[in-house]
Amino acid sequence: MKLTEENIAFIDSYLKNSGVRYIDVRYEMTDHIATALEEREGGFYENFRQYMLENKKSLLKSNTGFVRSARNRAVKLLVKNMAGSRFAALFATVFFTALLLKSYFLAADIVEGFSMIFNLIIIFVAAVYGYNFYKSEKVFSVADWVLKAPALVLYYLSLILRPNRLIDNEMVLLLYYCFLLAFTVEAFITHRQLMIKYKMQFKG
Amino acid sequence: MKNSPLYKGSLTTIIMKLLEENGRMYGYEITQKVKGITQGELNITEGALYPALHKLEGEGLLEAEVEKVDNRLRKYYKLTENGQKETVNRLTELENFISNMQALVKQKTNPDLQL
Repeated sequence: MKLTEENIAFIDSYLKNSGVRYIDVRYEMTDHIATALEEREGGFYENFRQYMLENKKSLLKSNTGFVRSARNRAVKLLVKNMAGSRFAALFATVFFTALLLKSYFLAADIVEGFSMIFNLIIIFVAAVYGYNFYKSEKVFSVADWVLKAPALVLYYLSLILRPNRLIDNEMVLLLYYCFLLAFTVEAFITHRQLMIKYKMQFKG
Repeated sequence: MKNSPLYKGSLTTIIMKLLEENGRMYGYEITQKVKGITQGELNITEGALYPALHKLEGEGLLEAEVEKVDNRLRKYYKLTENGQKETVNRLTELENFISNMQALVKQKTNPDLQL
């Protein structure tokens, strides 16, 4: 028995309400469930109820595995990109800009300026993340973690460690902010590239 | 999947072997193929299969293609070039393991060594 578009939408909606947030995970789970149901005789809703009684636990376990795998892949991708030439170029650009500015301004003022820019970027990234979380219907797993993982790291670095109080040397502090700026921009570029890749892959 | 570390440890090798033989496969197809080959003895659950597939994809051993099939999107997996090389390595390792285990399990007790 072939499933209708309404049946597929029902499965997707059921998974979403069961906490399967990422669309790429839902696409794969929906296909798995739909293929299994198509092999059964009888009505869709009764078959679906029966299937979920038998397999819901395993499906949700699979979702946990998906999330863990997405997080690991995101961290791995970010680390790989940070070892690449784009990150080196980003860091060099920010650092040489800082050195140029140092000829005209006090190091403390540049640090303050960079800190402000960094906070603005964080607010922007948080806004993009918040939009994806609450509004967007299509949140892709690895792309989501590429924003979430650095956001968590930066949150701890900025708010808990308070590097401005920990680091006395202005040059070291400047280097720290140069790194943070380059890192945040790198994470955002990686996120955008992944979103384009995902959209291309899942356009059907 | 049978609740045994022996099976769990071999899951990725089983997946890679099937993909080597069949070119490209989707998740449900893999579960059914394993069930068929083992005559229902081995049942891979979604909870074991998909994390394993994604781990292999993340390691660059598998690549995915998505196609629209019957009102929905289907993700097919296939081995990458590295995946093909790694399949050969893992199968050799598994075969050696099985052969060593067989030798150990089937060996007859030497009466001279008995106390």
